[in-house]
Amino acid sequence: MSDIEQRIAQMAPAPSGPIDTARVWHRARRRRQRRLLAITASAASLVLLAGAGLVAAQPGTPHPVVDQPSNETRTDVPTDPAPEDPDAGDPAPAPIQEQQGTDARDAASGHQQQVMEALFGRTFVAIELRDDQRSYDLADGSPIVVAFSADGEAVRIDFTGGCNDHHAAIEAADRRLHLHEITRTDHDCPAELAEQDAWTRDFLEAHPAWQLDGERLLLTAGQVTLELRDDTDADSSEEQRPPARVVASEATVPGGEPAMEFADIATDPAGAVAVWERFGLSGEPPALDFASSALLAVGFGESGSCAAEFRRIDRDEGRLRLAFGIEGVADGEQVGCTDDYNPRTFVLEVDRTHLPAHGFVLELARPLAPHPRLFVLSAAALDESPAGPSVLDMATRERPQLDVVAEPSTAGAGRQIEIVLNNVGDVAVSYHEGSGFGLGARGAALRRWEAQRWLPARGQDEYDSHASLRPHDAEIGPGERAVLLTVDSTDLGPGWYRVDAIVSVGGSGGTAHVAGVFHLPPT
Amino acid sequence: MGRGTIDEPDGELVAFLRREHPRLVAALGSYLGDLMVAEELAQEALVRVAVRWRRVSRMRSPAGFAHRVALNLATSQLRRRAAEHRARTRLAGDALEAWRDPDTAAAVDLRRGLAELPEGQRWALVLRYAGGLSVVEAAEALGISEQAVRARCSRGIAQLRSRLAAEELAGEAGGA
Repeated sequence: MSDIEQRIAQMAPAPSGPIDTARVWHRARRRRQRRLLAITASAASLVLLAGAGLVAAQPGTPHPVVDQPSNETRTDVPTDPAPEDPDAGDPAPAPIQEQQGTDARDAASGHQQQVMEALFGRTFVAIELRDDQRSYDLADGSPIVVAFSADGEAVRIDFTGGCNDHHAAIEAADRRLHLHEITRTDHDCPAELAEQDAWTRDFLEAHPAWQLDGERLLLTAGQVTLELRDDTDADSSEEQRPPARVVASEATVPGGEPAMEFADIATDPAGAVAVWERFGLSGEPPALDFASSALLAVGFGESGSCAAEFRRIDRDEGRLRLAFGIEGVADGEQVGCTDDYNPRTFVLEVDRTHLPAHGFVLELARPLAPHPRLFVLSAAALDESPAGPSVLDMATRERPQLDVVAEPSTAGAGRQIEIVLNNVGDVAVSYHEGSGFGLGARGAALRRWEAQRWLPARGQDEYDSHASLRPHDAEIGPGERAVLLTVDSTDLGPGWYRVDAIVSVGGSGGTAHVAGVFHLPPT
Repeated sequence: MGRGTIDEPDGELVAFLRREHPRLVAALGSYLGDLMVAEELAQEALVRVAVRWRRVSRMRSPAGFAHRVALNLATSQLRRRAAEHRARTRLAGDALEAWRDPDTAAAVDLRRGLAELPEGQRWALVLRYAGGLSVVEAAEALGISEQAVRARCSRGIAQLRSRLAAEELAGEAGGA
């Protein structure tokens, strides 16, 4: 192997951890299951079921297989479909609003009210799962739980198959429950519970008919019946609370800027109004209980041919992960979408237990994969810096080890901050006139943390250093420290600031881009 | 309360996932310069392989297929990233450039050199030497002949060596 080949091999990164094969398998299995469902439904409608049933037992599986129901609006329950109905088993139901006339909508509205009155505020736990062939066991210790709540005029449903929490809006028609805007957490689950989660979701997405008999709720899709009992008293509504729900979705982003992503958060009513105005949303922000909720707005570009939808929110190691998918398309499924940019903002009500206890800033990273588009929002407490490393970039063959900190100056009546460079390596560095081409004559620039990113502070010229910065010539040998710049904060407003500087490294013309971050509290 | 057996992946697939995961991350990470994205795409590629495992396992080179899926994902990712970068640069100068990796100077030079190679040569080098794929596997991944893989690697190495030598000369001249 040549030296270049060896260098490429040595440069290659290693994974941060071993692959979770169970997780890969679970995701693959779920995708395969969706495909099989579609295939089963198609075959059934052509050959076997002839419109008679929506559900078929599959030997060897722990739960009965649930096919998606017909897209026709029917008034019967799926256990007794009209035998002549040739479309039963069609796996692709269209949105119900598009299928109904005025009368049907009125009926649906009445039924919505009926559902609300009967189910609102109640929590049900599964006690039996059966089809026309046999009963199926439920996972030990982790029951299927379904809870109903109201959100203004709408009814919402929370459910779990034993691991992840799901949340959705319900449209009720023809004594069926139609779930929309399903969001869910994305925890790693034992295979058994993951399977039960997936089954529960498929079952509830199959537009089950509902029937309330005292304390018992019967949900039926085709030949499969899930029997649940009222467990409201044993339930803590706080525990069932969904992590996030969509409160608005509009074709807008701040300033109409193309090809950008935006995120902003509000933790009080005034902040919500500011977010609403910044994103150009219509109407007024919803009245939230900000003691327990925060308002999170995320704006990005969606394809003109594929509408985006919010999928889930999760917190992982202090980061919020938001996933957006394409309407009607499973995660990872290949679809052809135009690559144009159409503004889209989702506003979410987020459970504050998902956020740091104190203030925070949000940094919106680029989406990690096109489908689903996954955004990672770093949420840092305000007493932490929104920036990480103090060395941003190096263009040198030498290997300096530098650390830059911002310290209050003993001079200047507390208004001065010193940007101090600690040279902890064995390469000398220096800071002098003209070393920072592109960052001002003295190689320094002041940035302010705004709109989730470091932007030039007000007054920061393209070529000259900011007026508040006073640079100092410095030769900093190994093991030494020196003040690079002094910042006079008198005219700076509260917020996070970063001073960028370019220092010379060693004696071969190398440079390092370093940064010191400081926070100015409100006076 | 038992529920019978849970469908498990077969041992061959598990072994494949464990073997290919680090190779995919290495190749994608070298190509994209971003470990986090590389890991995300590597996992997505493996999920897609697992979905089709019965068919993929009978292929001449399952590893080549996995890398081909990863290559397509990475290309899509780069296309999107390039569009975003152009927009961000236009709107915010270099304010959005994120610090990623505390690379050594040598790694920075090498990565820059790789990035300047034509895409075909770059992929060939990354698959062969960062991912450790055989010529057969790389040919499968790239959809070209084994001879073409060898040619691309050979030309890529020569170009890379020439660029790195020129940079070293320039560095020495600057320090003189």
